[in-house]
Amino acid sequence: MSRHRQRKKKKREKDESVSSKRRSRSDKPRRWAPVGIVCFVALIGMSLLMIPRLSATTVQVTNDDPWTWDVPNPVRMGMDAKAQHRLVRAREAVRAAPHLSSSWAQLGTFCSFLRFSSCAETCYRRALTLTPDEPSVSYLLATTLDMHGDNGTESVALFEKVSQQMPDYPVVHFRVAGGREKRGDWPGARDACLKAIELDPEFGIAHRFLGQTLLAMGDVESALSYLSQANDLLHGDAAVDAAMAQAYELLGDSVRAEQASKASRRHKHTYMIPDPLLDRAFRESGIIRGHAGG
Amino acid sequence: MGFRSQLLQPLLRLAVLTILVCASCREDVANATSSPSSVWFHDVTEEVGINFSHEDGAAGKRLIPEVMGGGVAFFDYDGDDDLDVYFTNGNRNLPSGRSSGQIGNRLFRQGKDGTFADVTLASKLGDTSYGMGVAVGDYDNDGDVDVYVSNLGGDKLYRNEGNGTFADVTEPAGIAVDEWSASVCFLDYDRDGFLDLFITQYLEWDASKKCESPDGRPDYCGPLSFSPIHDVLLHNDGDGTFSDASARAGITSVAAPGLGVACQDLNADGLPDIFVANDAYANHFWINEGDGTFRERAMAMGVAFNLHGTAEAGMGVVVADFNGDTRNDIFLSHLGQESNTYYRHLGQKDGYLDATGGSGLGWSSTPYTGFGVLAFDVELDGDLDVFAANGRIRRGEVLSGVRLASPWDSLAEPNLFYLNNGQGRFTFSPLLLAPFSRPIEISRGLAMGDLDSDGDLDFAVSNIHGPGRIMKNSAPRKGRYLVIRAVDPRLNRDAIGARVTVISGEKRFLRTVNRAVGYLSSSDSRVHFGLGHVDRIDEVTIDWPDGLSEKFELAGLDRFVTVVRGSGGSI
Repeated sequence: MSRHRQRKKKKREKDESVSSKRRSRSDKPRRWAPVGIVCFVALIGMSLLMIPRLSATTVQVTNDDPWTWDVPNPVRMGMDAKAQHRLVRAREAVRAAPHLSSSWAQLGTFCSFLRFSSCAETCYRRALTLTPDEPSVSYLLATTLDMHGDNGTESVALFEKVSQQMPDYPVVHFRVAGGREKRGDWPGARDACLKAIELDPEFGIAHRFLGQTLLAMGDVESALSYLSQANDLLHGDAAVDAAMAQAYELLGDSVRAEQASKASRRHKHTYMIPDPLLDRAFRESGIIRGHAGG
Repeated sequence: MGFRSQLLQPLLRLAVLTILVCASCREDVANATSSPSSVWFHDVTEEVGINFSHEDGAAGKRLIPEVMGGGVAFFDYDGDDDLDVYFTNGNRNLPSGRSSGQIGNRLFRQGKDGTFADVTLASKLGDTSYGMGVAVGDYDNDGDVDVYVSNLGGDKLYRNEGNGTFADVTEPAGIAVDEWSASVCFLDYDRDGFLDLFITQYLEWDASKKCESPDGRPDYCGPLSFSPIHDVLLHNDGDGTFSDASARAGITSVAAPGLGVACQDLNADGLPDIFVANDAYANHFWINEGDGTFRERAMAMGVAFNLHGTAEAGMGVVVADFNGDTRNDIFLSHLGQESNTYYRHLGQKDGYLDATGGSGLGWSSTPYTGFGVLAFDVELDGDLDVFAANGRIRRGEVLSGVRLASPWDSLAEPNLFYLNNGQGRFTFSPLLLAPFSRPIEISRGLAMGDLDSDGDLDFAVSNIHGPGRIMKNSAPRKGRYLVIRAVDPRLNRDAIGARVTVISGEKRFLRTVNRAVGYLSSSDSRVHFGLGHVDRIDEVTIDWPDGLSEKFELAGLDRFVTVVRGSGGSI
């Protein structure tokens, strides 16, 4: 027998011996059952550990029992003692009453203020699970998603839902307009902005945005009209002047375009959107909106 | 078989099934790292011998320069027809940033086998100031490329001696830019054939200023905590020296924290203009008046603020034709909570329109702080795809998958890649670029060039507190290509500013010869065209920087050609 064949024969014998050992092992289930169960539990545990890591940005709450929900902990080393104290209190409030939407919403607002966006999102989603028809919670979640980026679909849908629940609240229509614009829906943005202005004719930033949207749509004359009103309402605003400069440029009036450009450099920006709903949420959490992170 | 065994088998099967389900849930990571066919770029940094690591100089004081720097450049410094790589570096001398004499910028020379050797010492290009950006151009028209390095506290100009070494000519060239410089570009704004310099100036930095995050922890200050300063325009006097032309050209009329810069013809009048991405201030759009002066027209051109009227925190900028209408559009990267912005060019007199909404570039970029940006045709289908290098400047939640140590982990963000559909609409495609988006780092500069001369573009990315990386393009090809090197044998040899249009049937492809792209970085000067499924090239037209327009008949596709000014037909 050649050396090669001998090696093959030895290997076959070895394989057979291994498989016979395997067979003998399978004949002894009692001895291996506890190990199997331990392995099974470990694997399931590992799997469960992996699931929450799948998508930190789109947290879905599937468990119906709020008493079993984890409470996010955004407390970090070196935090200001006051901020830490407030966070701890907000977390304690959630732990004491996890079935209350308001406690989750308040913790979410803290997290949002401190730039812990996924913590804020988690808290608002839980609040929304508890009170699906509470517009302020939908609004807070939509605002968070809008600021920290989703694909636009969910935040706009939430803003639109709130606009139906609170049809007389002008700011939510303005938010709908912003969301639609971000998806490239300029006519939709225009219509929502018109609604906001109809409800609050003094809404300066809505006038500015409508003017800019109309400019983007090529309706320069109407854009100028709304931008002029925005200028009056905002008492001089750099962005309004800049948009007017472009409008005049498009109309071929380079002199007025230059004047508007110069005015833009002199004026400050109006950033803060007057938003009583957000103000209330922040006030309830003891935060003044507009401060860093607000 | 006993009862326990009967129980055990289904349990084990269930366990295996659960693991498989979980594994499939993690397809974003799995697909991006394990399946070669799904990955369009490969990190070849180690393979090609690059071993650069950025020194941020951080000592726990949270000084802003620590999180701003790090450019990268591709250029052929030794004239051997392949691209070499240069990374700028910080040092440990903050807050002054003065030359340390040790840690510095590094130059890697590409050999014939595609590997790189560190030639920093031999080349004498290892500037040891606190480095920010790099610009490349042949300012003395001697046929080799020179290097301008922007720093915190004292820029440097290095003249290529033509023998593999550089000489520091900052002082004899009359350059005294001593504040905090960021992105730089070479341009010939007065069309005299000598490359001038535009240098963005960030701000009047005061290291004693302390800032906090909303939770009271020390954090990096933003630009609004300091006074802005005006940018600098240096005129090349043609005798090896530069003079400060900022005031007489009108540049000093406005001040803002400038970061990104693009020097190209923005209003299609044949003259090079300047776009500056300003941090939290209105952008600047300097129109070249043709008489040695510039007029700031960002408001009237619609690019000062976004459509929502916000002065965004501009970082990187790329000017290119994204929608195939042969007009140059503008793409800008911004701070987190602002989206990156895409301004579509409407026409010479009509200015630009914020067309981010619906372009696909907005929503996905909102969570991230963008710096370096690039636009090139990855898969040669005839349109420009977009890359954005991300990384925060302020504390935030540590993202899942970040492996950096504290405090850097809270700044790391994934980079972004978008595929263009040819009409300026983009699809966010994270899976195709796994090595670019993972590991998650604090990325800053991006530079592009065909490192291996295979007809598609590769790129480099610089990272703060991390390695510089080289990404090789291995995307499936969906078309033909043409790479053109435009040469003016008289002056401005690399024809910086030339507009090259390739015409094939009804299709027109526009690219501009321009090295300064994105943020703090410099790319290859050859223009690269992905052409899609064309079967011929009818004509190539070049609008040379001095105003001459010529047409060329170039037979053949999938090749590298050199086109010399004066050898074409008049238009």
